[in-house]
Amino acid sequence: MGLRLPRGGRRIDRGRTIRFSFDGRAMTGHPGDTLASALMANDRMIVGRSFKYHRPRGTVAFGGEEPNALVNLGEGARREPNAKAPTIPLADGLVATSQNRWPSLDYDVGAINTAMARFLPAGFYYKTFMWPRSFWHRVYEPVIRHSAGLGRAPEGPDPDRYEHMHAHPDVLVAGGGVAGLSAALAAARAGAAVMLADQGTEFGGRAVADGTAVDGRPAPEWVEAAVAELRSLGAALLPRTMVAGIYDHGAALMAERLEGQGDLRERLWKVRAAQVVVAAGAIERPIAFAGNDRPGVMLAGAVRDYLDAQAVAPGRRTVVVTNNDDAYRTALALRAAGLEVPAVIDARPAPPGALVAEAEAAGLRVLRGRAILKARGGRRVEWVETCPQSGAGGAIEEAIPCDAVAMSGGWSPAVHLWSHAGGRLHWDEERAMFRPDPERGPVGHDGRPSTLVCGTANGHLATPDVLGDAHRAGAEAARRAGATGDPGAAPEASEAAEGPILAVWSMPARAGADLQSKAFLDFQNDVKVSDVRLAAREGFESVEHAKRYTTLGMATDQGKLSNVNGLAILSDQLGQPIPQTGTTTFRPPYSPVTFGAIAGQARGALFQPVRQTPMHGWHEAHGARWEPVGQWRRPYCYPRAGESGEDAVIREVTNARTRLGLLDASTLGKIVVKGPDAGRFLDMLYTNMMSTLRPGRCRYGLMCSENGFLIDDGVVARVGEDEWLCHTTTGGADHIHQHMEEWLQTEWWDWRVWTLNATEQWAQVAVVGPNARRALEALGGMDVSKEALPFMAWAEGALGGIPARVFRISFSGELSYEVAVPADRGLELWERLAEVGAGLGAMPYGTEALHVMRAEKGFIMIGDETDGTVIPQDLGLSWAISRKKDDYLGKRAQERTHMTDPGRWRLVGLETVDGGVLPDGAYAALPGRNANGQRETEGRVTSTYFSPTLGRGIAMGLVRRGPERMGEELAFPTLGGGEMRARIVSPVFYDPEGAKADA
Amino acid sequence: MPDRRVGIATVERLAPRGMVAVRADLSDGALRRAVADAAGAEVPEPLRWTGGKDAALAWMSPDELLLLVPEDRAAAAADRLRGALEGAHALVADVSAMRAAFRVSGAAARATLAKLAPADLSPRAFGPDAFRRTRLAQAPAALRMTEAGIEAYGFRSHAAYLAGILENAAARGPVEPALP
Repeated sequence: MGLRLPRGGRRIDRGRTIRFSFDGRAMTGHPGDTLASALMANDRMIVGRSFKYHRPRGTVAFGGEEPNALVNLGEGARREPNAKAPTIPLADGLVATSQNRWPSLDYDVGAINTAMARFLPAGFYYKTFMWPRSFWHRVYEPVIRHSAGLGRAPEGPDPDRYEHMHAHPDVLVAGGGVAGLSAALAAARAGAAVMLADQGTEFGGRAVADGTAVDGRPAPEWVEAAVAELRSLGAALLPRTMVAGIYDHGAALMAERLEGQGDLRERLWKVRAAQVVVAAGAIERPIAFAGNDRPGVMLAGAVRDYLDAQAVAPGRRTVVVTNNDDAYRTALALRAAGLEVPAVIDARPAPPGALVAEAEAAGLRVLRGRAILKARGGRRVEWVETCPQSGAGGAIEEAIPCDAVAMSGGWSPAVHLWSHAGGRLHWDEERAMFRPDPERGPVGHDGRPSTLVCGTANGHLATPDVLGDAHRAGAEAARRAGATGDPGAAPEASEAAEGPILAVWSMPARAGADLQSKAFLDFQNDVKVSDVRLAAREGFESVEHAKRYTTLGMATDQGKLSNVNGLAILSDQLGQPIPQTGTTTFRPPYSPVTFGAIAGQARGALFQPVRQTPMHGWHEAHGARWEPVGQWRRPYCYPRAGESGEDAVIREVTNARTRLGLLDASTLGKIVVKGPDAGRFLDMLYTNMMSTLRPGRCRYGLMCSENGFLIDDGVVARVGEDEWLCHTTTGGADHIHQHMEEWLQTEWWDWRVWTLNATEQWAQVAVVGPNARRALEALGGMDVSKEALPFMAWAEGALGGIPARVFRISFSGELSYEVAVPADRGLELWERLAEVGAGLGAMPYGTEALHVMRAEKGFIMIGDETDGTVIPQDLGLSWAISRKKDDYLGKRAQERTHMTDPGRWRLVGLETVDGGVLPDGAYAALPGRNANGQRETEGRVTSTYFSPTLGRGIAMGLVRRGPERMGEELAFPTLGGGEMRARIVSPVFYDPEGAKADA
Repeated sequence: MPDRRVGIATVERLAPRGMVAVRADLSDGALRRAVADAAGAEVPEPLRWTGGKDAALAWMSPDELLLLVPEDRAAAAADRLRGALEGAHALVADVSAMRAAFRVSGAAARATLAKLAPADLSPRAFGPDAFRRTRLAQAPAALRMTEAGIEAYGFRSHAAYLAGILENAAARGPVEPALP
């Protein structure tokens, strides 16, 4: 019978009542409640159903380690699945529903799996659904998936907002219990900039619930003073902030849940600390006895926490079962709260500690050397049956009626964060725990320790030890971070010594198969003692294999309660000591982080940067259809009213070929290369000779990787005696600049060359077509005649009063000028050209018309004709490879036998027999199949368009021995079973003499 | 973008300013002197800027500086630098049109930018004369500490994106507690 006590509850405000609903039922609670405590106060003991057997389950824990009480929190677009009830602050109007049950939590059809449990052992799915193989995908998996799964995804876009935050403290303290506070105080007093995060809503941790005294004051008072002092020292204190992971070099990721910041729901902190102190505390272990998963069976520490924080209890009669002294604190606390404790069942034959004596003095009945044989009851625990711990169970000694069980199998240091960053563990036999090995901690970039661990996370269980250890760690972290101040004295506490723990992995010690198959290790994934033993017997001896075979520790809680118990059982079954079995790997995140927090601000219009040219607004206003090119948006075409995209492209091509086209070419990369060794440098970068280019002239060049493959192309203009301007492709600007810098900074570090990526300094417009010259003449200011500015020349001056560089180059095959002006005058130039061009038939054209025109001319496009496996020689570009040079990047690679194989696929034009357009990427097929059973092929289409100029489909492709096979016909199978035939022709379909560009 | 206060900080787009890129070997004392004299500001230490309103010299990398001058003086400043470096191995370029500049000001200016930049912007690391290149969300940027606030320089093509993320970061908060 879950209940709220008439008095107490340090966190709740009894003066106010708030309403919430669970599974549609209206309930009430108080500010300061969590959903878990409020449900307990409302006697709602079944909170969820387990994953595999759909067993009824209640809350087990007080914090983020909770395996059972997972709910759908919120509704609609705000619904959050798998929210842990103990970590959800109760809010007015909160709506939560239970998970993994149908039709209701109390009566669940899937619970039939419980009756079937003996037929659903570990590995059941692997064994059963193997055959026939094809059934897995189509039949088994969909059915299993339908009945499995926890929680429901939200519906619709998330209405809330999230953000990221970066911080660089000297010392980050993970955990705000008395250890974390003590460490933070030492570090802050020494002068370090400190950041402290705790996943709970308040600081103080266990000491507050346990009534520990620190520095002669009750723990809550000491905590309050410590927090105030830390604030005054400028420390950043973050409650509700889970440290999700600690990585190399003091990097940490933290998720903060926000309250009262409008629609801002979570903040993801990316922290880079000089030093990290892990003060994450410890997690209590359940005991594996039969029926330990019944609602009402909880961790002893959690029972104490609920009593202290919210004055709620899972029952009026609580049996305590333990193998250590700490659970006696729970027995005493329950007694002090006026609740019954019919027995403390202690597995130890003769527990010596002071707490045991205190309990007996208080009149509690202590059963020594005893075990719970079974916890019995229906949908909640109703009585426990006892037996000796040392045996196999057998006869029931006593049946003790109760409505709750508080269990403690000892405490495991929360070593997760320590382990994330590479910290090692060792097994402490005496304390029955894995604890951090301080000699083998995480190290930073300099090989020095980057992370410290302290308090219970470091294996200290007594408060005086915890405080001293934490103070030492905080002071050490500050010192390592360069702080030189006085860390002050460690806080003090006194506490009677506790008796030793007895390692109890199974209760009773030699429990038989019947008991083992009802003793749960992993509550969320329904893994029992019997499953782990079965896995070991079937040969899954490595802890990592046993984990995956049984799914132990693979649920959303990642085995926070089950890990150590499970590997201890595995060790026992294998007959080897626990350290030999070891632990599974601890990986971030400590607890799940939402996708919203990870995405942060990157949503909607801010999902990704969109790069805009200076003329972007004009294009938008003139109906441009956009094409993403890298992060740029370029106009694909400019459809007019009633015009399809295809029609627009045809019109734009025809207009540029017959009158005047304008293209925004601002996105092309522009890299300045200058210095006494610049010519030599460019001769190495390009396949052709750039050092011999005369100032005022341009040359088309190819760039290859070391492996000989073509990576970029563009026109190079010589600016001055020791200065060149290299144009790159739109996508190549940044990485070609990096490519240049890499060679200059690593291999040719002594060459005197400077580079500058000036792409964004210039707006560039291609003025294309028979009327191009007239348009520039109309602007005036520069002599653009054939004589003054012949093909492949460039000049600097002013056009219409705008400082300009005019390059007489052509990617369309027409008379063409590319005009570069400072970017802030790009729009002005564009508008002036449109204005003076009006009478000359000027029209803007987009990237598709650009592609069609270059394909008509047989010009290659990086990314179409190249794919990282193509060398210039494949593309008929041998003319652009200098034979006079000793070397250039890629030269030696291009001399390899495979590269000089005459059977390579080489560039040709493809003319369809029926005038149609070949599908992009289509393969030319041959009869027969290769070793992989695929159709043999002899070529592929790299570019294919409808040519408005020729009135038919044209294509380029790479074909085996292509140029030697002019006139041959190839067969291209099409989707749907058809075939298109195309003839091999020259790739230059339009103006092969080049007379127009040279006009 | 209008100058406006949004949420925890003020974000404004700054008027264009003159910028001149200089690449040169800054370990060469004579060359440093020549640059400083021509620029009208001392060559800054790494991650710093020097000078003032008429001419500020910012550290971009071990061999690159950026001179900030009023917009109408950029061409002359570039010519002066070119003249001063005549004969030396150096690259001087007027890049005034290459970037967009913003200012984030107010008590939460650092926190606003810390939402977007991975660089350490605490007063300990980012003092009154700090200048550094970093990123703002997914776009490259340089940040400069001034009395009036923190200036953010990004590439011109990113201007709309930068305005969007800066306004978005400033719209919500505050960040409590303040950064350490």
